[in-house]
Amino acid sequence: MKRDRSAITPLTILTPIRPGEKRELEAYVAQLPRDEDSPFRRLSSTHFARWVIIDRLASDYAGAPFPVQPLRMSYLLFTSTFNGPVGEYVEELRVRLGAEADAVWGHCVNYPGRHRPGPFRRYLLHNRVPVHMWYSAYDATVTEVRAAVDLRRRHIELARLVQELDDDKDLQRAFVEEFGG
Amino acid sequence: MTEPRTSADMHGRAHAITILSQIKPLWTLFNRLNFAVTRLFPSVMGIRQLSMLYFARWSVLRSIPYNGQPQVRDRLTHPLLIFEDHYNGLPEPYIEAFVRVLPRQIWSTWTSSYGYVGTRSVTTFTRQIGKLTLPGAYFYSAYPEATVRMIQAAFAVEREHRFLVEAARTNSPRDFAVVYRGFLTRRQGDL
Repeated sequence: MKRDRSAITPLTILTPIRPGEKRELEAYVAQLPRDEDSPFRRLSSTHFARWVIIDRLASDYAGAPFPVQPLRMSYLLFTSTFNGPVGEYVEELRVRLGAEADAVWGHCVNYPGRHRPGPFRRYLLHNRVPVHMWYSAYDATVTEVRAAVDLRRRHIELARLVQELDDDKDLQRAFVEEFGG
Repeated sequence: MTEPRTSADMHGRAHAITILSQIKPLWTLFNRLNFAVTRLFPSVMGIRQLSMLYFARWSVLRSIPYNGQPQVRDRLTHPLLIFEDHYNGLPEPYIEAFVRVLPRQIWSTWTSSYGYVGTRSVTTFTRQIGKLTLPGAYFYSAYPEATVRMIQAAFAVEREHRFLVEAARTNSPRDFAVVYRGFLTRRQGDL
């Protein structure tokens, strides 16, 4: 895996939820906005982020291990896909996720809070789950993806527009007006 | 049918699926070998053929980190395989495409897990995946309206864009028209 600053990196963190706080955590996470107001929008290197609550191991299927050993705790699984090194991203989580980081991981056992940078970093890294295999369909930053998608949209619009132009001069003028040149 | 999944598994066109299975005794060695071979020879994964997939990750969890009281230690009788991926499209067509395009990858991922049912029957496999899937609590995509195909097409367009701008600046209208129409022909599948 590449380790340059723009390389896409997966991070997985599994933290134990404090007994009796699972529902409150679930309710809080469920009401977080996702579009423009998502707290992850403030972490500009984040492609995808996800929280999942693990409170049981499936056992209701053929071939499940026997005897079933239920989990004694519930856990919060956090996964993120971002550009850059893990250490810098954890600091981004602390600074930019900010109050939401406290509101979410504050329901987890012995979370130290974002106002203590060292313990915050150590806590998340202590609970990090290694990613043994990883696939990425592309290697780019969020800004690069958004810019390319926007450029493609503009090209589609221009292609529609110039379909009706017969004069090469008009075609070149339309292109220059849209994209410069 | 997979169990109904919450909207917390989707954001715009992007979906997420997290699958947690228990690994049979000694089979973590197989997983380790599979991961090592795939890291050395990524093309054996063959996963690039699945054009709906943004990202995927595989983790084997042997023990759960301990953080002190009041955490109660959960000693895992069987290691856990955590598989998560992000894709565009609907869950069932996606799983069906996965089965049709990558049966070998499915086998190498889950043959080590309890209850692996194979891929002969898409329905049985999909039902099994439904049992092992964890519902999401929250899912965010930085570009929810962009599919993988759109993103890859956008990069293909972008690679030619700078030459078009240069051609618009330096070529005569007639020559530019030839260059531009050539671009439209080459990239018609990306626009």
